[in-house]
Amino acid sequence: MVDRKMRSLWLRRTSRRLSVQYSLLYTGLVLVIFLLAYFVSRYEMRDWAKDLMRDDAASLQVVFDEGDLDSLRASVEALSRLSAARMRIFGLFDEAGNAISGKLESVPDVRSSTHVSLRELGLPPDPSGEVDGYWVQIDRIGPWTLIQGISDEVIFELLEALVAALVFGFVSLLALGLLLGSRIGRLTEDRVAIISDVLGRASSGDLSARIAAKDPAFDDLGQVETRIDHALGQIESLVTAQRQITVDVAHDLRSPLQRLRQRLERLAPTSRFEDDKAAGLAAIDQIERTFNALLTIADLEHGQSAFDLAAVPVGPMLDDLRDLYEEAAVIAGMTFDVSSPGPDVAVLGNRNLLLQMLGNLVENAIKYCPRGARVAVSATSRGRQVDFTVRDSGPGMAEGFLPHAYDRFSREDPSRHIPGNGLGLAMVRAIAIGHGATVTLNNLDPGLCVLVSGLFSSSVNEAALFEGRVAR
Amino acid sequence: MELESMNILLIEDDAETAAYVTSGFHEEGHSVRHAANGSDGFLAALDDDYDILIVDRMIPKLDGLSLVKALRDAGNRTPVIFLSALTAIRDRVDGLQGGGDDYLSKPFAFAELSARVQALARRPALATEETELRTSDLIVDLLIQKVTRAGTEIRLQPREYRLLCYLMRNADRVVTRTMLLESVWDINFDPRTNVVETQISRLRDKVDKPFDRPLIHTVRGSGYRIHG
Ligand SMILES: Nc1ncnc2c1ncn2[C@@H]1O[C@H](COP(=O)(O)OP(=O)(O)OP(=O)(O)O)[C@@H](O)[C@H]1O
Ligand SMILES: [Mg+2]
Repeated sequence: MVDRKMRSLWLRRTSRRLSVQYSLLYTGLVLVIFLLAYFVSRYEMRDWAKDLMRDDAASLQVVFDEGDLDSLRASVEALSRLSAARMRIFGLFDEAGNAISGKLESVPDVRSSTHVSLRELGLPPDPSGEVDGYWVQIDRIGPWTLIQGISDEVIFELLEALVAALVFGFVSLLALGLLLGSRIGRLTEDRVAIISDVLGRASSGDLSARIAAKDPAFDDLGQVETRIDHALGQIESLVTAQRQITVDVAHDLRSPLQRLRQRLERLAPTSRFEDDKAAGLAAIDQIERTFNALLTIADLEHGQSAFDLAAVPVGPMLDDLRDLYEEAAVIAGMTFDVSSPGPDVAVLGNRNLLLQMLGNLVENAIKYCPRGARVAVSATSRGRQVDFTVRDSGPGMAEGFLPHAYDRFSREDPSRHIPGNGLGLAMVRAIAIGHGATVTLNNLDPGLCVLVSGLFSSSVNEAALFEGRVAR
Repeated sequence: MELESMNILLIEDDAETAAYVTSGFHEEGHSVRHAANGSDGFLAALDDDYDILIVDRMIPKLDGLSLVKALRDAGNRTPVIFLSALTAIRDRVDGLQGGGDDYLSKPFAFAELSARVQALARRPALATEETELRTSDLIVDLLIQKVTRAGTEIRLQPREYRLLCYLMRNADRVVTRTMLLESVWDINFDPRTNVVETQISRLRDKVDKPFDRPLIHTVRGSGYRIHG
C-alpha cells in the first residue's frame, strides 16, 4: 500500500512518467524486432541450407556420372575437409549401410529436410556447446547414400550479433532517453512550477505577479506563458479600475454625506422630529461604517495599504480584546474565555488591525450564537508562527455557505433580521492576508471555529529591524 | 463651562462645510477665520496667532498635508486637526506623521470636531512634568498612581485609571466616545459594544456614587465631561 502510494507519487512528475512509459515502449519494440529477426532468419537459413545441399548433391551426382565411386568418395572427402569445422557434415554409405566417408558411423534413421539433433545422428555432443543439431538432406547417388547436414550455429551467431546490437542500442538509447527526458522534463517542470506559482500568487490577491515570459514565445509553453501574463495584466487593470471606482464613489459620496449630516444636525430640536433626526444621523453613521469597511478591505486586498508593523505582545492584546467584548458577551448570556500563550509571545503586525480582526470574529460569535453559548479565543505559538483561534458553540455555518462566507456582502440569512452588512469576514480575511496569514472556517458540530494561522512571531528586537517597513 | 474663547483658523474649500463649522464655533463663542485654499490658509496661519488650525486635506493650491509640513518647517507649532475624505489606513498615518495632531474623517458630527478642537487647543505645555491631576476634591497622584477623593483612597482597575486620567486631563471639556476609544483603548475602530458606557458607569460607581456631588457628567449627543 505504502509502496504503491510512493510509486504513484514518484510517477506524478510528468518527465518521470514519460521516461518510464518510453522505456517500456522501447522494450516491447525491441522484443518484437528480435522475435521477427529470429524467425525470419531461421526460415531464410533453412532455405539457404537446403539450396546449398541440393546444389552440392547435384554436383556430386555429376561427379559420379562422369567418374566412378572412387571419384565420388574423393569429392565428398574434399568437401568435408573444405567446410568449416563443425559447420557442415557429410556421410557416404554403401548399399549395406557401411560408412565409406565422413564422421557418421551408420545411416541415421532420420527424414530428409528436417532438423536433427546430434544424438539422433549418433554424434558426440559439441564441446563448445554451440552446435546442437543439423538441417539434414539425404540423397541417393548411384548405389550409395549421401547424407549432408548444415548446422544452426550460423543462425545463432547471427542472432547473437543481432541481440548484442539490440541490447547495446537498447541500453544506450534508454540511458540517453532517461537523461534527456528528465533534463527536458526538468526544464519544463521548472517553467510549469513558475506558472503555477504565479497563478497561485495571483489568486491569493497579488495581481502584480508575472511569469515574465519571453516575447515572442519560443515554444508552445512559451505561448501559454505569454497568454497568462497578458491575462494577468488585463485582470490587474480591471481590478485597479474597479478599486479606483470604489474609492472615487466613496470619496465623492463623503462630501454630500457631510452636508446631509450638517443639515440634519442643524434642524432645530423639536420633539416632533427628534426621532427622525436621530434615525437619519444613525443611517449616515451606518453608511459611513460600510464605506470605511469596504475601503479598508479594498486597501488591504490590493496591497495598497501600507500599515505600520511592530512587535505586538499577544497577551496584552488579548486582554484588550477581552476588555472590549466580555461585557457584550455576558449581556448576551454567553461565557467568554480568552487564553493567552506565554508572556513573551509577540506577533509582527499592526495591533489595531489585529484587534479589529479578532473583534469581528468575536462580534460574529456573540451575534449568531444563542444564549448559553461559549465563545473562546486562544493564541498558540509554534516555532516562528502564531495562530489565533476563535471558536463558539453556536449554530455554525451551512456547508454550502462556507465558501462564500468571505465574500463581501454575503450573509447566510438573507432576511437580514440580525443587523450587519456581510463585511466582517471579508475584512478578517483581508487583514489576515495583509499579515501573511490565512483564515480557515470549520464547523465543529456544534459551533464554528475560525483559525487565523501563520502570523509571524516576533521579538521586540526583531521588530526594530522592521521599524518603518510596511507590509507587502 | 466657562471655556475661554478660541481663535480658530479653518482651511476648507467646501463652502457649505465651512459655513457649518464656522457657525457651530460661533455659537460656542469662538472666533473663526476661514480660508478657502491652501496658499491663503498658509499665509493666514503664519500671520496670526491661532489657537488651532482645522485643515482639510484636499484643498486647492497647496494641499493640506504639504501646508502643515511647510508650517512646521517654518517653526509654527499651532495644533492642527485634519479633516479628510481620504480614509485609507495610510492616509491617517501620513496625516499624523506629517505634523497633524488629530485626524477626523468626513462625514463628522460637529460635536466630535468641537470636542477634539477643545482637547487640542492650547494644551498645557508638555515640558512641565505633570505629577498630579485635580478636579475639585478628586486628586490623582500620577507618580504613585493613587486616586483619592475628599481624602478617601479609591481603588481603580488599570483601564478605569486611564479613563479617569484622560477625563481629568480634559477637565471641563467634552470628550467623545470615539476620543475615548482612541486614547484610552488605543483603537481606531468602533467595537460596536457598550464598552465605553460600561467603564464610565464603573468609574462613576467608584468616583461619584459614594460622594454627594457627581463629577462625571454625560453630555447628551456628545460624550462625557468631568468638572467640579
Ligand atoms: N460565528 C458564527 N456562527 C454562525 N454563523 C456565522 C458566524 N460568523 C459569521 N456567520 C455567518 O456568516 C455571515 C457573514 O459574516 P460577516 O461577519 O462577514 O458579516 P455579518 O456579521 O453578517 O455583517 P458585519 O460583520 O458586516 O456586521 C453572517 O451573516 C452569518 O450568517
Ligand atoms: Mg460580522
